[in-house]
Amino acid sequence: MLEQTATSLVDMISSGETTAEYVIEQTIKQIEDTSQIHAFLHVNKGAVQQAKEIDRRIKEGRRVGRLAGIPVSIKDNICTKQYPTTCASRMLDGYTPPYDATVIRRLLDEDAIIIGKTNMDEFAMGLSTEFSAYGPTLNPHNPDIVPGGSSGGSAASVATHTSTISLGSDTGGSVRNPASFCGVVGFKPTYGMISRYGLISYANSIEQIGPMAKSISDISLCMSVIAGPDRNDNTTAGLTSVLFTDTHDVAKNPKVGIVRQMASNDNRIQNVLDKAVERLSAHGCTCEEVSLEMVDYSVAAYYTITSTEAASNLARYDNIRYGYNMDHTGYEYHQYITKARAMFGAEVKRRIIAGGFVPSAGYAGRYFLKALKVKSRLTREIDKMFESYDYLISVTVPILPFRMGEKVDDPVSMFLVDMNTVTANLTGKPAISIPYGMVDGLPVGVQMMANTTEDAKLLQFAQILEEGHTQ
Amino acid sequence: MITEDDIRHVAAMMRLDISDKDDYAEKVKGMLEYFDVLDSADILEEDILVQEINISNLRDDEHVSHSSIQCKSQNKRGHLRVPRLG
Repeated sequence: MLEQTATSLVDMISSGETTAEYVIEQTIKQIEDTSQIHAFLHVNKGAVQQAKEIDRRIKEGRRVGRLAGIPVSIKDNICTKQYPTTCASRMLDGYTPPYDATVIRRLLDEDAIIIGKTNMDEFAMGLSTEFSAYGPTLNPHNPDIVPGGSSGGSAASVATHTSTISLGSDTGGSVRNPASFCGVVGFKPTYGMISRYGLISYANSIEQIGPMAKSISDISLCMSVIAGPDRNDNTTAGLTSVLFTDTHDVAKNPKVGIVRQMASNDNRIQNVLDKAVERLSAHGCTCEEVSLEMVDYSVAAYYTITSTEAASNLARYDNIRYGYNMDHTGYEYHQYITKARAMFGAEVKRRIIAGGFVPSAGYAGRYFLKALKVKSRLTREIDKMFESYDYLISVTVPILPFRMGEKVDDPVSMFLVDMNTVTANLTGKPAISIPYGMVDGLPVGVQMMANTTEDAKLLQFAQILEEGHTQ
Repeated sequence: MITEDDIRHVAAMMRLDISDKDDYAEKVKGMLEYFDVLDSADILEEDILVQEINISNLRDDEHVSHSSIQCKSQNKRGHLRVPRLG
C-alpha cells in the first residue's frame, strides 16, 4: 500500500478502494517501525483525525482536493502554523510560526495531510544531514552511510514510505543530492516558480523549495498544486502559471549536452551516466559532450555568495527578534546576544564567520565581487548552451554516498560534493535528479537541466529515463 | 595574508563566541583559501548581472495614518497593534 505513488493513492482513496484513514494509520505505523532512520523531527498526532474528515467528505459526495489523504512530509525550515519549525537548530527550539508558508496553504487547500516535519542540516547548511542539532538521519539503504542533505530527512522519508511526497529546499543541491543518495526523484524548479514565503531564509537569492517523490508524475502533481505566482513573494511575480500535468510539445529529436566538467572520476558512477545517455540516444536524442568552463569555479562562487547571505539572514537570531527562551538577567546587551548565539552549531558558525569576511571592506573585491562575476559568466555560458541544446545531463553527485563522519571535519572536501548541483542554483535553471543505478548497494542519480521556465517540459522529457530505470 | 586573529575579530563582530572549539579559525581559513580559486577565473571584464523586479508587480502599500495607530485601544502599555501575519 505505502509503496504506491501519490497518483495511484489519490485514485484508490477517492474511488473507495481504500480510505485516507487507513493510509495515514499505516504511514504512522511505518514511521514508528523505521524510527531508527530518524527522518522526522516532529510527527503530526492529529493526522488520523484529519484523514477521517476527508473520508467523511468523500462518503458524503462532497468535493475533495487533488491530494486528498496523501501523506506529505515537510522539511523543518518551512513554516507550519500547527507544528514546530526548528531548522534542526537549538536556536529555534520550541518555535512554532504564527503563519503557514504559501506551499503549506496550497497543500492543505488540496487536502494533503502534513504527516510531519523532517530532519535536515541546521539551517540547511550541509549536505549529509549530519549537522542537525537533533542527531543525523541515516541512509535507508545502509545505516552507516549518510542520506545526503540538507533535505536528508525528506529523502529518507520518501525512501522509507513514511511520506508519499516531501518538500525540501534546494540552495546548492539540497533536494537533488539526498534524492540521489536515497534513490528517489528530486526536483529543483526554476527560481521563482514556487513561492518562498514561509521558507526560512538561508541564501534567498538562489534557494528554492522543491518536491521529492517516488515518481516524476508525483513531482508533476505536486508542482501543479504548489507552483505559481504569490503576492507574498515578488520573485514569483514575473512567472505565469504552468500546467504541469498536461502534455507539452517537446522537440522530436532533442539535443542533449553531456557536461564535461561534471564527469565523475569513479568509473562505476560514470557507467550509470553512460547507460542513461544510451537510453536517450535510443530514443532519438542527439547526445554530445559540451563544456561549461565556469563550472570549475562554481563551488567557490556558490559558497562565497551563500555564506554572505547566510551571515546577513542569520543576524536576526539574537534572542530579541528570534530565538529560544533564555533569561536576560545579568547580561550586558552585546554579551547577551553573543551568549544566545552560542546555540548555533559549528558548521553554521563557520559559514557566518566566512560570510562576514568575504564581503568586508578590503576583501569584497577579492571574493564576493569575483563570485558574482563567476555567477554572471556561468549564466551567460549556460544561456548560450541552451540556444543549441534542449537539455544538459550529468550524474547528480560525482561520488558515491559516503560514510557517516567521513567528511564532517573537512568543510572543503564536503563542498566539492556539490560540484554538479550548484550550477542550476547559480543560474536559476530547473534541474531534476532521477535514480538510475546502484553501485555497491547504494543509489546513483542522474541529473538533467533545462532552460528557465521549461520545468514542465523537463519533467515530461525525464520520464524517458524513469521508464528506462524501472524496466 | 589572512591571519587567525583576523578571523577571530570577524567572529566577534558577528557576535559569535568561538571558544567552544579550537579549530574555527583554522577551518574558516581553509574555506577562504579554497575561495582563492576564484583568482584564476578569467572574469575581470565580466559585468555583474542583476535581477530586476518590475515594481508594478508589487502589491500596493496601504497608508495608515499616524493618528489612527495612536488611538488608545491600539496603544495599551505602549504597544502598537499591527496587522496579522498571513
